[in-house]
Amino acid sequence: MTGADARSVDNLRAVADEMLSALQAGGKIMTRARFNASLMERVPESARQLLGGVRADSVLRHRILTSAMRSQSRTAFGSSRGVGRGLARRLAPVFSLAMGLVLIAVLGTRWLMDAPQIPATDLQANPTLKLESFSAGDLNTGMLRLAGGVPQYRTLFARTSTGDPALLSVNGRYYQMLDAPNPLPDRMLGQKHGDVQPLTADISLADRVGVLSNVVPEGEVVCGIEGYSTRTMVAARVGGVMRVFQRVGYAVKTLVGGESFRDTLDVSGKVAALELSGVGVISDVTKANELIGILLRDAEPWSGESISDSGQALTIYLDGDIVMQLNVSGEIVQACGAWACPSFFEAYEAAAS
Amino acid sequence: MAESSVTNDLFERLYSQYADDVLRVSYFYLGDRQKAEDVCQDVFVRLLTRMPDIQPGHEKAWLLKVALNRCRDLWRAAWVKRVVLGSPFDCIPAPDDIEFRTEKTDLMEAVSKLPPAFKEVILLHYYQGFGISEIAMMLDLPEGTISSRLSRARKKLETLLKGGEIR
Repeated sequence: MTGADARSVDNLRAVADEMLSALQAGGKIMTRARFNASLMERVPESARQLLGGVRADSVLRHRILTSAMRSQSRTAFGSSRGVGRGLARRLAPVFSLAMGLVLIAVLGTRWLMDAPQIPATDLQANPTLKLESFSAGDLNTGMLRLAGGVPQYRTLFARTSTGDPALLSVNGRYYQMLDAPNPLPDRMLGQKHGDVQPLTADISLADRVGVLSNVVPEGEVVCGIEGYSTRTMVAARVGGVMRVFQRVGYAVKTLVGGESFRDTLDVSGKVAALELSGVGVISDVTKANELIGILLRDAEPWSGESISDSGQALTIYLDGDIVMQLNVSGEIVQACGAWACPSFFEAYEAAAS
Repeated sequence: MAESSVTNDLFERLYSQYADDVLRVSYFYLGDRQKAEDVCQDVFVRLLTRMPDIQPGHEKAWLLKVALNRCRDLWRAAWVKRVVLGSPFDCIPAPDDIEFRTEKTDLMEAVSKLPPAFKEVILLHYYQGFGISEIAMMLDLPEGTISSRLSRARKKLETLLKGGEIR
């Protein structure tokens, strides 16, 4: 390279700058660069803020589970399409019955196996067990009914691996573990309520003082749930997951001291929706709270001699994604004790229709 | 029985972790809460009834893939209704700060106005944080197509935010 060439190259930058001075990377390019870099980064934050109120709540969860049960039922019956029509028609009643049994045995296993049973020991010890001595066995589980228009629902009450109700006893108050929410959101965890003492398989032997369980490991902490009374529900960790335990009656023990039904169902003003299986869902918050208000105001202790097999449940969806469930038989609701309340059911039917 | 129990456990875990995302993406896509809940229901019912073989670590991708497929079906089927549905953000309470609200709402409304193919990649990449290769797998498309769609989607957004129309 000659000296003149070198000088020309040295001048290139100056010449180019002079010739291209009108071309600036301002305005459009800068805007585009900023747009690409910063505005798109704001999408997650913007979406979170604007869509934060859109939440998949326990009502939707329950809807999904019920729909899945129905879908499984349809699928099972749908497999009969391969059979010749005439033969199928002739064998329909038998086939339906057989498929129903298969369906119950295979597809509905989880739900049906959850069916609580009155502990044999209690029945032996109390041959004249009256229904005022409500056991956890009074809590019906969800059942898959195949005909007759009987409502479908899925129980929320959990059982241990041995088939017993998954229970927690805190100073004479009994609670049964629920399937939902799973897990209880951290924000809902309240103050410490006690530590689980020995894990016992026979929780009916629990003393009135102390914290015992047949499912929560020894040493685990029992906590309250934010916004809810510990007389209504508590939380404890099972298998590393924080679970909700709903107050129930068990082994002739229901209310403690001067408690009332309202204490065991302290949900006033917190109801998000109600679902009475076979009747309908009340998703209007005001109406749902009004209905629970009627139940809490008008319910009377029920002490009939016998109780018919229940196929219904009242599922109560609460603020904070909490769910509770009461067994329903006629005009009686059961969880911690049994309570008759015709006015509630009349009002519910009117609201649902 | 064991299979049923495993499926139920999987459902409980995935619903707890990802149902909000499935619902929000569906809502964003369709602009209709009821339809979004229907999609969310379909996704999880499929999980419960078909017991799909989902690779560990890819559960969220599977759920959103099924959700987007369902959204696409609904979008095609209900295109007339969609025209009158309006913005998905009309009924969502926004932050109090008016300037802040306008900026964010404008951005999200612009995204919601994108054609489905572009909206999907923006939602998956910028909102749900999936990488290009993951999105390519979810949508069964080459990575180059996803990159190209992202680039074109950004340009369309820019046009929309400047008050222009997109084709």
